[in-house]
Amino acid sequence: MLRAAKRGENVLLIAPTGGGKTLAGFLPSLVDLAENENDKGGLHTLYISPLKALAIDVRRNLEQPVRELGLDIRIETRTGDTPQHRRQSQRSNPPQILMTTPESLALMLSYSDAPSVFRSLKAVIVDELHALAGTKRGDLLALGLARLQHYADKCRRVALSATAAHPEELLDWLSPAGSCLVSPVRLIEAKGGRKPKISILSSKQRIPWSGHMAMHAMGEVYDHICESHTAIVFVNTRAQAELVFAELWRLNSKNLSIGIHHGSLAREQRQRIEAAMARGELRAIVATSSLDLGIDWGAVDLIIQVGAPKGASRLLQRIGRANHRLDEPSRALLVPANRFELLECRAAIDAIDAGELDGDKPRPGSFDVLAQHIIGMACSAPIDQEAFFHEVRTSAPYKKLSRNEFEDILNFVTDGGYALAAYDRYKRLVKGIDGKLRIASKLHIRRYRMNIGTIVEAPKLKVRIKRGRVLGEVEEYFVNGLLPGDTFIFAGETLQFEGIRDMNVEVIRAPLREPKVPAYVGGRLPLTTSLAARVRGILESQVNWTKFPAQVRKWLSIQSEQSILPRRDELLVETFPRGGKYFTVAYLFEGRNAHQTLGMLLTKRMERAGLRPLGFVATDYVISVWSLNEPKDIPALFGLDMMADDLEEWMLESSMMKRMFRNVAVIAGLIERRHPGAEKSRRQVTFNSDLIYDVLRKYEPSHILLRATRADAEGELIDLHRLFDHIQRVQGKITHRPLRKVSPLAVPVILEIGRERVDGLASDDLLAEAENEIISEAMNAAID
Amino acid sequence: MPPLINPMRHLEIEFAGYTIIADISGALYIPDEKILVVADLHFGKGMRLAAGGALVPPYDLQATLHRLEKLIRSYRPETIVSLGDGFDDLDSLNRLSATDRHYLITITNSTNWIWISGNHDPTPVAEAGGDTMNELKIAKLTLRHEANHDEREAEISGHFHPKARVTVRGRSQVRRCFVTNGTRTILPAFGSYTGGLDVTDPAISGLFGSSFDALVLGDRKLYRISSARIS
Repeated sequence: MLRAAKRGENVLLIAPTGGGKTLAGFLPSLVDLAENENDKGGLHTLYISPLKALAIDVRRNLEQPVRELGLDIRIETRTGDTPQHRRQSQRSNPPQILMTTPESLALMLSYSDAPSVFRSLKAVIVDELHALAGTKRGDLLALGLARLQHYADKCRRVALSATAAHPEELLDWLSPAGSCLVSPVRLIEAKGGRKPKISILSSKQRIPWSGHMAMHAMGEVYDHICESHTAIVFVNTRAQAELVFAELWRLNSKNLSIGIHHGSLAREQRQRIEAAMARGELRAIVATSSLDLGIDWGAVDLIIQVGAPKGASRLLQRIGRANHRLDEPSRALLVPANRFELLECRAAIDAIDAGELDGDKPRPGSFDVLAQHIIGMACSAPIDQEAFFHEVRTSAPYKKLSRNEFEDILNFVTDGGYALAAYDRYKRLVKGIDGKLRIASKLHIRRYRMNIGTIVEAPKLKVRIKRGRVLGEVEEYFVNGLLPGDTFIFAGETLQFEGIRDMNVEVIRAPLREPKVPAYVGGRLPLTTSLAARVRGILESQVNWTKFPAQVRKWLSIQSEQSILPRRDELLVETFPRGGKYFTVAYLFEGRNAHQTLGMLLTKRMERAGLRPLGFVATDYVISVWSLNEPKDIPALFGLDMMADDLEEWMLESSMMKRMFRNVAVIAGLIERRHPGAEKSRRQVTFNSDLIYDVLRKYEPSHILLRATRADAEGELIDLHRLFDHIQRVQGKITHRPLRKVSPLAVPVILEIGRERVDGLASDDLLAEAENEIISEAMNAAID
Repeated sequence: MPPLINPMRHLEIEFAGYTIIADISGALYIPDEKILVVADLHFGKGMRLAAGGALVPPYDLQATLHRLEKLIRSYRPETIVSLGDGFDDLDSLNRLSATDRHYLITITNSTNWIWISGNHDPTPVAEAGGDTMNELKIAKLTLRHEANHDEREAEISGHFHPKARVTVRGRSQVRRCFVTNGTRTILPAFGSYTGGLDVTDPAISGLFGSSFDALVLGDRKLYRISSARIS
């Protein structure tokens, strides 16, 4: 690091979590500041982290060695929580080292004194780059870095990243030219220490056929917690976190201190848990992805992953949260919640052993983020279009931005960019006699600063105990599905919904009733492509089955007797009658989201074919549709003709597009975000982005914001493209198996149908009953 | 020629001795009087938002008038009543583009057009065409902008932009709706950029006492849903 710094090189440091990589990034700056003690002019090093908490924590960790070495260096943080007077003094008299976030950097760059604040900058350090590159926040930061380079052209860039699937993309991202071929970046890869020791829980219990909660294994999970020093129990959804946490406490005969951490909990509650963890007071913490990034805890010696890992990189990142001493291997235990998840866990371990990581390549930079950046830059100084275009294109996400696209975005920022030039009087940018673009009024500066950032959250409501304290927040849509008297688990307690009062969800404690479990936005991640391929591979060859428990082997071999096992280059579709209906099950392994969309398209087609479909259900592995009439011509059902048209039509109407348009419209500055605390009362009529979407789609379908929305949708529909590629590949190779009854491999999805229909946990007994019935039907024998 | 009405897209309600038609677009038609009623058009709202820095698509007036034109073609009314808040504010007409203003005046001149005053447009807007009134009485019916608590006679009003949340099996949707109980009817907003107020808000439900029906505007059909089913 030091040698690279002396030569003024940009550096990407890839290392597993921990191993002191953050401090390594600062070392050259400390040395430089110590050697040139007299030259203390202004800001020397800027540190940017995706998490506020991390910025604060890194400052603390850095202050200690600085004090011990007796260095006279001022280190400060600047985040959304920094008081106004402090921010002002940071601009007039900057510290040598400043810790901040991408949003705070954008804000600082929008002031007219930005050139003088950043002129002295020698180094920028970006932490957790893998979590920023390829996201809208990353786009905003990349544009900000391009501007910093403009003010301080000798400024070195340093980034720290966890192991990534595409390191060359990160090198380009960091390069001041947007390409490491043009402006090089040195790659330093720290040795990953010992290979992690990952095992799958060999449960003595019967492995469930479906479900995601893994309740059957909690006793064994508890035993592992007892045997370890400190464990993190990672789960995939917040609902899972609540259930696992409640179950572990039910089993907690030794009264171990076990905590819970997820994004919906009140900030104070999360901070309390983090602090207790840092002090080493907890034996275990149940967490969602809210702990995927962040502060290092040396004492953690076991990672437990409950539910399928969904991706090898993600699993590796989570495992890296344990044992930050490089000389010992990390230990991890995978706890599959059902049989397919067991296959998936096996696939993930194989992928890690083979050193194969997954992750999508970064997509091009978003138009809405660029629109926001343009306003911000115009707030700071008049814009020279030509020079600015070139500056934007030095950032990797916008390397391929065309002049036309740039003009369209600029026009949007100026007057909305509509074909109907209606807003001449309300232009946001006006051209001066020097040809430069200036911000037209202070109104727009204020608006920009109030609405900065790229994270547009789903509207949330506070959960408050009646006449008591706030427990946290839940998404509004979840509350909309509740009726007074309904119960749900939140923050480790069973709560009863009373009503909404003053924008709070009012609840009372309801310890005795079976809860209706919350389901949150974005809880379920789709399976990655490479893992899906591996699962298919495992199924295909019996050689791979030796590692599985006997019950799973039996399941698979009866499948191969009664039907066939899905092969890698074919599509297996089974049909069978059941309960007066016909079920069609397709084994695609392309992830739940893609399957859900396909289910919708298939139902439409079956309706047209007179098959009278009644419903469908999708899992990560298969899609199942049921209908009153028997589908016979399966290849026609999966034919590619018109499927693209159906998809296009559906996409434009779907609520997903409206949600994405809202995000784009907020980020681009078309509409203002809802500010917490300043919520309009329900009395007041609120303005709705759906109305704009409908009008714009009808009157100007090629508007830049609709193009931006479609680009976002493409990103989110990557698995859908995969699915279409898959269907294209198997044209002519569709194996249709008409069966007399349900096949063993189809049992899990048929059970999901029951789960979707009956709400809540109270139905578990019912399900168990139904489950046994279906299983013996499929396997022709009693199991276990 | 009888009006061309698509039976899926309207509901008939018995109201103060009249049979009136609630249309899926949010308009109301009184066949006996050949009156088409629309509420809260809010012409010029897009321009006002733009003046405040939100450069929303400048097509709201066009979009609203296009929908109105379609209704005129199918119902062939002799009179059109705008139930108040036809303009977003008194200066709206001046801010409109020449094309939009021309389009608007062509429509208002094509039939007998009545602007009822609302809180956004309390006084007549000059050069908008048509006549302006505070309220309009037809036999036992009163048409006004905001519902009057003391009204005993049948009343048709707008102002509140009602919408209803309907929850079925844990999934809920919010849609614009008419609210009615046989003596009082409130219309949804017709303007393209108009949000809404939930019918369970006391400002609306307080006007109806114990029970009312929401005629909810679906994609293809109107649905009559009783207040007991609305959360």
